[in-house]
Amino acid sequence: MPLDKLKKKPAAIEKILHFGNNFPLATMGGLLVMLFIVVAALAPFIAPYDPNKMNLKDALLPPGHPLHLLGTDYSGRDMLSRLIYGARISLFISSASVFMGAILGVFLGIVAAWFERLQNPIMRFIDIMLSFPSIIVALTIISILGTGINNLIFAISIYNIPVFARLAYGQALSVRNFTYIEAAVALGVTDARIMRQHILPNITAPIIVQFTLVIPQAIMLTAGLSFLGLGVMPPTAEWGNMLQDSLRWAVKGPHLVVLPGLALLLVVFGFNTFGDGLRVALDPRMRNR
Amino acid sequence: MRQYIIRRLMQVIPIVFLVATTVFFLFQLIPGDPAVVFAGEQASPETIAKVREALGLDQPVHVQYWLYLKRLVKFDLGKSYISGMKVKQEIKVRFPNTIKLAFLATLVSSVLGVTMGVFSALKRESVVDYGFTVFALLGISIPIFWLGLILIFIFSVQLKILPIGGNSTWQHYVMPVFVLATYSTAAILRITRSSILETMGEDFVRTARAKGAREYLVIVRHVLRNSLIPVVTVIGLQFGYMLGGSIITETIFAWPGMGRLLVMAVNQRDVMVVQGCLIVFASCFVLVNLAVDVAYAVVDPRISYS
Repeated sequence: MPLDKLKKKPAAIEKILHFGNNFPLATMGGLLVMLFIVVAALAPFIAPYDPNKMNLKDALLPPGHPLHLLGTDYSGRDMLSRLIYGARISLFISSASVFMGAILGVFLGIVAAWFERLQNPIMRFIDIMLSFPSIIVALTIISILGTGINNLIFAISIYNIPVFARLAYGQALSVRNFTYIEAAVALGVTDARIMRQHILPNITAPIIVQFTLVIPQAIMLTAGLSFLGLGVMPPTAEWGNMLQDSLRWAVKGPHLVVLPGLALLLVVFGFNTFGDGLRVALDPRMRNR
Repeated sequence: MRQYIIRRLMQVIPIVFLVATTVFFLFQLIPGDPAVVFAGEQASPETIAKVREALGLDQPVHVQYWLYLKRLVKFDLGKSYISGMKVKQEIKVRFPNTIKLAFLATLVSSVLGVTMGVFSALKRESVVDYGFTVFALLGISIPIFWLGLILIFIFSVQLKILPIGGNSTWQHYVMPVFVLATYSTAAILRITRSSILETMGEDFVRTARAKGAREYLVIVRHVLRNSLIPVVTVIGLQFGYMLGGSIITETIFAWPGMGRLLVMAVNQRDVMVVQGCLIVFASCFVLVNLAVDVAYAVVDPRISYS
């Protein structure tokens, strides 16, 4: 056998293979997420029809029709195409908003736990923000700014800041009394370095659990608000407003109600299982168990 | 400890004040004239002017703000611009319904979630653990409005054993409480399991075992108590989720609560009702957070509150 075949595979590939072997369910979830991401990114190329093209002649076709794989809705729009464009909207809104919220939130939480003088002002501020539930923050901002995708992203990211800050704060507070932190202080390690190198890695496990709970939550919130008629408005294809829109047709075309919910369930399930495996893989304390 | 609780209680007032202030100024940004909304689109300019004067909307903003605070101290939340009803009255009727729903769902999900989480962690990698893990993943993944619709279809439309909407009998509670509790049960199960597993690897657990403590005592005294902080956090956050989740649940099950009131008010742009609901919701939240912080101190002696 030639020598270079025996060479180790690149570290990244090695890690992915390792992950796949150890976390089959999470890998499945990851693949599911990837599938949705690819579908969302390539929506204009893979959707068989224009998602908004009506064709009353072919209304309410059941799934399995040769021309419309997943059937059509009450005005003859292709369900598969609408679901694909729905994935695009959902993933874009949720990832953009959670990312912005998490960065600010974790930063605020750790800083509040480390600098005692900042603890009160920051956590009181967080308390005030937390005193509004996610959907209520969103409803407030939407009732002021109006419906629309940008306002939705803004609303969801605002709500994510206190969620991450509070968790990071609670965790960092119990970590900061440990001996290794004391040791680091005694060695003269700078505050920034302690927060980054000693506190952050020791509280990542619950933060990642939270992240994996929150991205799908943001997807759900988007769908929920659209379901209430306050998020993404029809005719833009979005899973939540597709559900709301087709309630009247639930008996004649049950697939109109079942399919958007199923798509939502699948993508959220994918994120959750993937994040779950990632949590175990990323936690240095759990790695060798 | 007592001083800590009293000090935190004192902080509730300025927080509610800040929330009320933020809400007031945010709602100044809303386009449109409330006096026109109140009087109706067809009203004559004189009527609108009269209404504006009656509502105090002809005053400058800082005077309006002062009047708003003065009313708030007397728990007066103003009148709806649409129905003309007192906001306080509207909330008073619906608030208990929302709290009942949220409380029952929190209770159900905490009991179920913690129990299942403990079993899952102690019987790690058993059939029970896998079963609960799959349940948890499904529970946090299922959209509650979809679950609600499907349950209505099965139990109300097909089997006709549970009522579709309202809250008059105990049967009316079954589906809304179950739907609202599903997500939280799963979330609490997950955090309980992961927190217990983490604690089981700690040195003090090994020490407890090494000194010959019975397994039952190791679990109850050492593992459970130390794993509870994240669980308490999540339960605290869940109660908030419940109040928010009630908005969707109440809409699906036609539950006469505050969530539905708020959605209708946002749809109708009924500013005073939205404002009132937000202040009441926010006050509840601040109190829940206070309870969570106190619970921290009880379950974790490592956190000191000097």
